[in-house]
Amino acid sequence: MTDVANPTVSSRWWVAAFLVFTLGLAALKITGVLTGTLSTVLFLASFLLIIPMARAQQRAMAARGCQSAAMARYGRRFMVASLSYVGLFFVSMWIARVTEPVLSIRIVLAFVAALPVIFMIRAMALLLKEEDDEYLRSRLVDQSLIATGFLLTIATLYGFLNAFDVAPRVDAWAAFPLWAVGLGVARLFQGDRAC
Amino acid sequence: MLNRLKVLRAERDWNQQDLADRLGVSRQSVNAIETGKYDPSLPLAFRIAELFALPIEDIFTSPTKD
Repeated sequence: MTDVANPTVSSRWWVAAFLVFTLGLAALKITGVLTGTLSTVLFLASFLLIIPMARAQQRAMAARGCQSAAMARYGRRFMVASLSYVGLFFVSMWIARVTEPVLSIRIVLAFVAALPVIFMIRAMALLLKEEDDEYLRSRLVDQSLIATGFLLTIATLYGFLNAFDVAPRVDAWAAFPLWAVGLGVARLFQGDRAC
Repeated sequence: MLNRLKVLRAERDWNQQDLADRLGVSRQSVNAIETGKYDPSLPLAFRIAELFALPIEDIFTSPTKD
């Protein structure tokens, strides 16, 4: 069996492919190497790699013995929310820039852009509720607590740095990705990293 | 908490996945319990005891017990 046939290795390849394509296309667009509608379409299309990446991760988790029905449902929900986020975020931003809408429309656009992220948070909450494997659940609870502590610590520290004019203002939506980074940090500190 | 899960499993020629399937938990859970990384809840400990047809104290031992 080759390394690529190993589900964990395959999963890492898909993550790498996703990052290379999305970040690479973003860099080409920002630097002006790629321009026009085609560059935007290519950039958005690169997010479709979320689908094989998520499936590969599910296979890798199953191979490591950490897959459960709740985790599979979570994977599906998160994938749908992620793809919806990409689509709705770009549509909202496009409408906001092109039409320069009135306040009420801007509020609606903000809710539309935020909705998929709220569904991601809901998917996480449902995972904690539906996971009936007590060991996997205990790991998720620990990860969530560490991620919450991570977010609160960074937000408090950064808030005061901003208050003392040491650091620039950061948009509040950064809270969720920062919390997700905290989940990753939590996994690094957990003894059993298989799951 | 110390336990004899690995020995009992080996006596029956089960791998971790076999035991996990019989208990309705993930293989990683079985691994975590066997290696002492995780202490099962009382309901799961009872399920393990019932599966092996043994009293709980024949499978799990307190680390402070002589």
